[in-house]
Amino acid sequence: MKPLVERLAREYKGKIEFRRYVDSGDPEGDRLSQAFNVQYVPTFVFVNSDGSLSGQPIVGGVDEATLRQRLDLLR
Amino acid sequence: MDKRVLIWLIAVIAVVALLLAVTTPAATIHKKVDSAELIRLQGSGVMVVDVRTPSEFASSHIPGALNVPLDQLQQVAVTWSTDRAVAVYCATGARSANAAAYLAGQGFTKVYDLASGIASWTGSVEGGSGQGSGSPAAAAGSVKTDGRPVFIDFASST
Repeated sequence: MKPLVERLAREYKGKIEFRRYVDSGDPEGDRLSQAFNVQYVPTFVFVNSDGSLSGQPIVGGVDEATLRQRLDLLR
Repeated sequence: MDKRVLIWLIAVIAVVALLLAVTTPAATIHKKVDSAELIRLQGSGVMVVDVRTPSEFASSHIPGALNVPLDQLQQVAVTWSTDRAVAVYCATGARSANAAAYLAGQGFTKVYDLASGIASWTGSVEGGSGQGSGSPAAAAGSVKTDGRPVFIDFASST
C-alpha cells in the first residue's frame, strides 16, 4: 500500500494532510493508535478539517478507487 | 361471428394471459450500489444484511443491519419473502457478491450489493467503533488539524 499512499499524498498535497505512523515509538502515533483502537495494519482513518470522523476507518488493504473516493469526500 | 365462438375465444385468451402471468418470472434486480444509493434504499425500507462474521459485525456495522454470516445465509434466507428488497454487504465486497448471487439464484427479485463493502461506506456506523466515548468518532476529535482534512495511515513498514 505504501507506493499508492505516497502517490496519493503527492496528488492531494496542500488539500489533505497525510500522516503515516509505522510501528511504535512516535508518541502521537501511539496515542492515536490507542485512541482509534488500531489492531491491524494497515488501518486508514479519515478525519474532516473540523475534527469529525469521515465514514468508517478502513482496516486492511483497499483498492485505489475506494481510497480516492474516501479522500474526495473529506471536507 | 357466432356469440358462442366469441365467448370461447375470450375464455382462451384469458387462460393464456393467466398462464403467462404465472409462469413469467418477475423482473429481477441484482445490482451493485454505492454508499449514497444504499442510504437512499434504506429510506425505502430495504433490508440491510451484513454477511460478515459476528465479531466483525460487533466491531462496527451499518445502523439497522441484520448480521447473517455468509455460511448461515442459506438457512436464514428461506425465512424471507423473495419479493423483499435485500441489500448485502461485507468488508470489501467479495463475500457480499457471493451472497447477492445466491439470493438472486433463490428467486429474490430485488438484490443490492454494496460495492467495495463497508470500506466504502460513508454513512454512520454502530457498534464498538461507532459513536461514543472511546470510538473512532471520539478519537477523531482529538486529531489536531491545521485547517485541512487529515488522512491517517497506520501502516506496516512496506
